[in-house]
Amino acid sequence: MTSAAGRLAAASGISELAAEAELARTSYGEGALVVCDRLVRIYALEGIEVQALQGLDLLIGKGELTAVVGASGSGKSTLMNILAGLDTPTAGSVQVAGHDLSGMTARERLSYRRQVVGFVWQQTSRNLLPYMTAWQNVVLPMRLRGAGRRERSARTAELLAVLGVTHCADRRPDQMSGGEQQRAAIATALANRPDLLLADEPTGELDSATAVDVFGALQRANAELGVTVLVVTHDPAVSAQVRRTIAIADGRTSTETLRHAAAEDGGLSQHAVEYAVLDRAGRVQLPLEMLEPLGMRDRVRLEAEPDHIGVWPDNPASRQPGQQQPAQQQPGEQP
Amino acid sequence: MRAAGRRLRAGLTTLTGTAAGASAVLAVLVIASVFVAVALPRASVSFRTKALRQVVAATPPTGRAIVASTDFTTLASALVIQPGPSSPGIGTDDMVAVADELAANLRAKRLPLQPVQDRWWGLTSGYAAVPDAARRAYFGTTPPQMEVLYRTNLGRNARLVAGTMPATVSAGAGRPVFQVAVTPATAARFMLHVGSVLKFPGQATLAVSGIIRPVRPGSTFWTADPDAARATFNQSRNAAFWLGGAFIGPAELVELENAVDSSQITMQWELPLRLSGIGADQVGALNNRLGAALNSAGLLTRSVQIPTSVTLSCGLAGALTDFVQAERRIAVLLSLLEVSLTMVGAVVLLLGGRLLAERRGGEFRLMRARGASRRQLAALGVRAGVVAVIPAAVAGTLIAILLTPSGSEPSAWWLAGLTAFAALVSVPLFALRQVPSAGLADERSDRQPTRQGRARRAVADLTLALAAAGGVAVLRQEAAARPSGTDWYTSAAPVLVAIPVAIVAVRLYPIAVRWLVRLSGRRHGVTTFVGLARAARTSLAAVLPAFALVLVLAVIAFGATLRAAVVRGDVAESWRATGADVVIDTYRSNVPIDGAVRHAIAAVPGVKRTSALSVLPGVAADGTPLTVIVVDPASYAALIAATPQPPFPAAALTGPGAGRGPGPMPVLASPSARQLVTGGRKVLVGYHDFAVRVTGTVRDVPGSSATGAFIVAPARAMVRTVGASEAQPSRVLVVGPGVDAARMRSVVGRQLPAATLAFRAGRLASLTGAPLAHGTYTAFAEGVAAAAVFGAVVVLIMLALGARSRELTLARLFTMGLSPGQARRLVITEALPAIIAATVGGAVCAWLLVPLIGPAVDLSPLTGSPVPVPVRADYALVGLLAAGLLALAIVTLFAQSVATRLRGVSRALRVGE
Ligand SMILES: Nc1ncnc2c1ncn2[C@@H]1O[C@H](COP(=O)(O)OP(=O)(O)O)[C@@H](O)[C@H]1O
Ligand SMILES: [Mg+2]
Repeated sequence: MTSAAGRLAAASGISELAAEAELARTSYGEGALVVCDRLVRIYALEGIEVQALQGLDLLIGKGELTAVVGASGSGKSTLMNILAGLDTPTAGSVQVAGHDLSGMTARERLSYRRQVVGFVWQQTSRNLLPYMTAWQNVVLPMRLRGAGRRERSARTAELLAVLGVTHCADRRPDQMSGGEQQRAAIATALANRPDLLLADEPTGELDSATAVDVFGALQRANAELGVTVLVVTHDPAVSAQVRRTIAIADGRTSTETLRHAAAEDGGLSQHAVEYAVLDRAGRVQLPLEMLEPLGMRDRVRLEAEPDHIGVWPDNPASRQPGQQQPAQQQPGEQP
Repeated sequence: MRAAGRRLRAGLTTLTGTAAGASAVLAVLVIASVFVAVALPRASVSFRTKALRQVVAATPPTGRAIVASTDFTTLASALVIQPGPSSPGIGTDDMVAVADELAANLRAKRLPLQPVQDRWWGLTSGYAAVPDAARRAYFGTTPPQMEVLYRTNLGRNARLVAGTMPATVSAGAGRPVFQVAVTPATAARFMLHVGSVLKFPGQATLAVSGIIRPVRPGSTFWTADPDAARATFNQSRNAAFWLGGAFIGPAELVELENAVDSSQITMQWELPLRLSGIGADQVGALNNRLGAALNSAGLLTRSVQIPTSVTLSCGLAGALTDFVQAERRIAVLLSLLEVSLTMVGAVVLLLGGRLLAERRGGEFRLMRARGASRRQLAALGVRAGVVAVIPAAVAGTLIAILLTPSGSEPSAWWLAGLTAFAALVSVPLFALRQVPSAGLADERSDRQPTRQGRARRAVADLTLALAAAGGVAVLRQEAAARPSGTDWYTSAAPVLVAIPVAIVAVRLYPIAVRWLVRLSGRRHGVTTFVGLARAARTSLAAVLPAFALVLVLAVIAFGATLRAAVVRGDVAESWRATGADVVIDTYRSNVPIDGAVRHAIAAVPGVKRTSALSVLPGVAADGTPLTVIVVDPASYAALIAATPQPPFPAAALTGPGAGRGPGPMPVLASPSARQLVTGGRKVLVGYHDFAVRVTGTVRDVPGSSATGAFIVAPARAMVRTVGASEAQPSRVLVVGPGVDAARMRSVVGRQLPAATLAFRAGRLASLTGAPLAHGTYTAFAEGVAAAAVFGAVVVLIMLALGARSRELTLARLFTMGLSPGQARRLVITEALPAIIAATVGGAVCAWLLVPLIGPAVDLSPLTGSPVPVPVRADYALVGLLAAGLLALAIVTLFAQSVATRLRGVSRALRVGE
């Protein structure tokens, strides 16, 4: 991600942008597990169009555990459904583990769902078949894929153990607590060793203690099984434990928060740094609370400096080079 | 034990998934539809079989055998035997050989024959007068006649009561003396006893050696020739005499042939058919084989030297052909009903499958998201279907077989198979519809229906409608060409009529509802508006079940129309046959029908009108017999006017000459009598002749039973012309809706002994009680009932399919302060437009069915009359049943809205849409 952003930041002029775009087509998101490029999803309801996603860019590396936050209706579930292969974008491209999700045939889509993603929904009742035990539920995706009996039972036992629901193996969902159900659901989603685990508000129906519990299970799955996890959440307690949090607003990624654990005074402390997202066209969304005090409207003036870009209000009186303004943009992480 | 039970239950839940209730519903629907598909054809076979058995039983025993006959000379020349005094003759062996070859020929034609011991054959000498018979056998001066019979199996069919069985021929005075046996009845008429001797013309003397009593007198042996069992009295135009028969033994056969006039000898073989277990399903084939056998099985080649033919006949053949024709016409009607009902059943099962698939939709979608392929989902759907369908289909079949034990009908299996198949495919079909083809979770709502898509749908609609119209056209042509055409395509005619109507209704429905929405927005309350707006917003898939009701109502309309036509036809035929509710006829008694008698008859409870008439034999001027019917024009016309028959033109009989005035008598003439009496020609009645003037034509005079050439004359003029005693009424017609039959009988019995009474009600009862008519009527009534039940099921499934979204709407509106009364109004305005539209569609079907399939439907075998019955739509019954379905929908909707309120709004809201 960072290298692409860096190159884009350096680009200027239309012809160079076009050349960059040509280059980006082959190299944007190289090495990332999830690559969303200007994703658009429009729902048409009786003539009214709802733009659920309006050019969303997103890169997620392999093995990451990433949280997605955002107001209700901002398009989180839409994004998750597209990543899960349950929906297709209206425009834009999306790749997961090398699979191009917009151009898949039904057969490819099926094998994608069997091998690449696992999914956990918010409603506990939607994740598990009510008349099957936890064990049978976990086995089901493997049976659908056609896995052998021995592999199935070994994998199931392993998953139930990792997620701490071995004691529920022979219970049906109505005999399990909400937390146990969600952990069993995670086990089910992980049955076919997916590269990517998607969880859409998996703790939304749970009390906070249980939510921490379920989130812990997700973290364990990420750490012990190496699966990349993308989790939608409203719970600040959850997002506080995640290294990378992506905020979605109006169908676009708006800001990202990275938490660094740093060794300080012999103890471990966390630093959260909020970043604005630089999209592939070089657009940056500047927070209103930064713009208003400076009266920045309609247009701003940019100045390239050796290590940063200065943003200046379009105000002739204050056009004085060298005068530092608070609206500064650091490039993303250094390569 | 308990663990096993739990495991079984767990296994079952695994199979039925999240929708045990819907699975049970589907299973019940399968039981019902398979039952209907199997039971109706089987029941129809069993009542047709009953009718067939009646036809067979009504045929005399000898009619139930194949009778082969030939004359002696023909067979003798085929055997190269020269007739003459010393000829070797046709021996018993020759006759056995012929019998064997005939039996083999018939068996080759696959006719079922009774075992050998029930066959017999023989030879008859021909009648000859026996002048030396006892006086008692003479009729006046006419001597009796006698025939000599040789029969096989005489010993088995008769018991010797005196003397010995005939065995030998002895040489008498120049002529052989034949020992013979006679029955007691013949012996009594001819005053014969053992030892009596009779001279038989030709060269024979008959000596009675024994008296034999018939065993089983009703068998073909004793009934094929009535003279064999007893002397009979024969009367013809120019002679009357007694006739008897005497039996000889087998050893006397050849000598008899030589002794009597061999040109008079006839020979016959009786081979009874085995008909005891015959069913209506086999009668067509049997009739064909019988016809073929009668034509060709009489050719003898092996038992004779020179091939020859004997004449074969079977008394049953005509009756069987009539029955087959009637039965085939009825089979057409019944197959129309059966196939239509099966199709309705299949549609209901599709709805049941859809209900089940939608109830398990969440589960299917989860499986899909977890990586189930479409094939795996289909397999799951098939399994879900199999669990519910197969045991239910077996159960439905078994129940049907238990209730209709006697009728095996292959079409029943086809129909049942079709039904079960519809049920089996419905679940996977709708399961796959739950997960769209590209494997996406939601249907792509960002794509508006394209022009292409709309065009494709229009083409599909048009194709379906054209195919349906084609089917109806084929049916009509087939009916014109040959009345037996019953293939499945045409059998579905009622459904085929319904399909285009349903398509049009589905297309017009949204337009009509949107128009209603606009209308209600201006005038009515908010609930009506919201309800209609929801109805207008409902997707086509959601209202489609309602239009299955069009199909149901079409089948109901069809059944009801035919049922009503059969009733009308029977009533019309009963009027045609009797002319009045009661006809009292005194032609055999001499008691005059005077004023007192008529008064007594009119006083019987229930009598509305009476009229007397007389039927007199007359002769036209050219000598042609002519029936003269004498009526009192006023009372007769009034009586006829009180019946559904065409009015009687009384005015034509009341002109000049009708009463006291001069001039020829005004009469009405039948078309064939017109020629005989026009131009002032005279008519002779008794010893009086009088001139008539034809003032009108009548085809039919109800109550007179006159046909052919007849005239109708006014009573007053006839009394004046031929005298009161000659013109004395001989019949009284009575009309009244509920004439007390018992009282009428006793009054008539007292006042007019020996008079005959004909009750129209009796005629009607015999028409409607005839097995074919009654069975068909019942089948149609049952078919209408079954269709009504299917209709109720469609309504319930439709409301069940919409229940969840309706519950959600109600719950939301309850939170906004909707009152229970408003809720009721809301659900009704939402759900009823579709049902009402379907009802309108059904009424249109009822209206269309009459001209479309009416001409293809021939009810004459049911009404017993060649007069065609007008087929009219029975809107009343269709309307009644449609109203019933509406009421059911309203009650169900109320129950649903109450249930939502009781279950709690919050729960409904949490479950989600
Ligand atoms: N199936 C759908 N049809 C129409 N609009 C939809 C559909 N699903 C979501 N939307 C709309 O898209 C937007 C984003 O929805 P969603 O992705 O569910 O948001 P979130 O999960 O962030 O709350 C919302 O405005 C929602 O109303
Ligand atoms: Mg959401």
